[in-house]
Amino acid sequence: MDETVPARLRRLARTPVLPGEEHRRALETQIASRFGSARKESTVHTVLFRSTVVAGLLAAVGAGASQVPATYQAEVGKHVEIRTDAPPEPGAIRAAIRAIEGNAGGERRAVRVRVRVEATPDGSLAAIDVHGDTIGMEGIPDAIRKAVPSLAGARITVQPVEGSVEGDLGGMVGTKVLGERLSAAQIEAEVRRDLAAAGVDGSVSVEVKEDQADGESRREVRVIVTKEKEEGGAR
Amino acid sequence: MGGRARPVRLPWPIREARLSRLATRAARGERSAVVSLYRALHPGVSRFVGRRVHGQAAAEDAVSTTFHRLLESLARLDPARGSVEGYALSIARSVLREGRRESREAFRIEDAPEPADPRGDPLGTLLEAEGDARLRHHLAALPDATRELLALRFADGLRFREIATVLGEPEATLRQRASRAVRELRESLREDEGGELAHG
Repeated sequence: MDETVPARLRRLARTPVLPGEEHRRALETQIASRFGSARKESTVHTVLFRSTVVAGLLAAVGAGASQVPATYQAEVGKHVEIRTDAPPEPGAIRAAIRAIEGNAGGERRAVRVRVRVEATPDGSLAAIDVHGDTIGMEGIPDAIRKAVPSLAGARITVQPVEGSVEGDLGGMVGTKVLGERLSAAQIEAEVRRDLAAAGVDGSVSVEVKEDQADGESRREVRVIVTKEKEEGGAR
Repeated sequence: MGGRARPVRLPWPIREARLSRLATRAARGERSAVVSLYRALHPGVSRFVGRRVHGQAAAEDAVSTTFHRLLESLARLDPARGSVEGYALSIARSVLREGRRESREAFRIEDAPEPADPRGDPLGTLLEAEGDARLRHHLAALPDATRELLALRFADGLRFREIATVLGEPEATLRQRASRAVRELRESLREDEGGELAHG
């Protein structure tokens, strides 16, 4: 018997009879109409991004921007490689992972860790993938060296891990415009292009404010989409 | 930012954390969160229902009822105490039971084996069909609760944390019960094969 019982059970699973696309849309309209019936939508969707360089606030106000689903590439974690001349001491990699997680800023969110340690011609390589959306990148090597003295001489590299994120347009816009040093005009152009591509109509206002204080650059992007609500919605 | 882009599937904990945040905001009445939550949960709820009903109309009816009931009970949902997706599926399960629409098994227990594909390996296909028939026979002999547990795990592909929320039982207990059931199925299939060899 080559195939395992779980694999055979998965193969025996029924193919589901799925609701039609028309039904899915109609149900979404029904559900949305149960929440808020004002003629002009007033829901405020706020996404807050922080980094050591840029702090930004993006607020998308209106029927369109915050509800439009969008799948986009965003950073979902860090890939850390620790190269040493000799195999790491027992517990060193675990301590390094704790140091990486400790770099997650004030709010600790879901984190998944995957570790691979292998011998290399010139010593040892520990590859650590840490998934989490608030992990800072800048201080990871120093944090590891400080927390784990036996890795003080290790060669440590950090790279971002990108993943496909199923989010909404507000998140997509925020990730794109705040993750790069774009000019105010470039940000406005990017936002307008994203909104148009996502089929958001209505009156769009984009406001970009920048200021610097205490050596930190702060950028605030406010997107306001005002759309007349259609009369006679379901339920 | 630079560096290489490593395409990965968004890890399950991050998806669950996002659903929890959406559920919390939806419970406060944020319309955008309600719609996002609906869009995130709709595929899973639809597949769960669609494996257990006959016909698209019944599936649409049950999915509608599930989501309306989910939104009415959002205030009672505590994401910290269980999986949001599991909570939605527990409502779907309840809807199916109340409406007696759960007229099929998530596994194709009563189905006849698929006909052999003459273009492929006829003997291999025949042996696989016989093996599947034996597995269905042993599945049918299991208690309803065990069969449902295996369906949630292997047909619906749920994690034990989600199954615990759906069934309202401790995760560790469900892990043990599923492991034991798989082991017993494996042993039963081995006994079948041993019997065939003895008679062969």
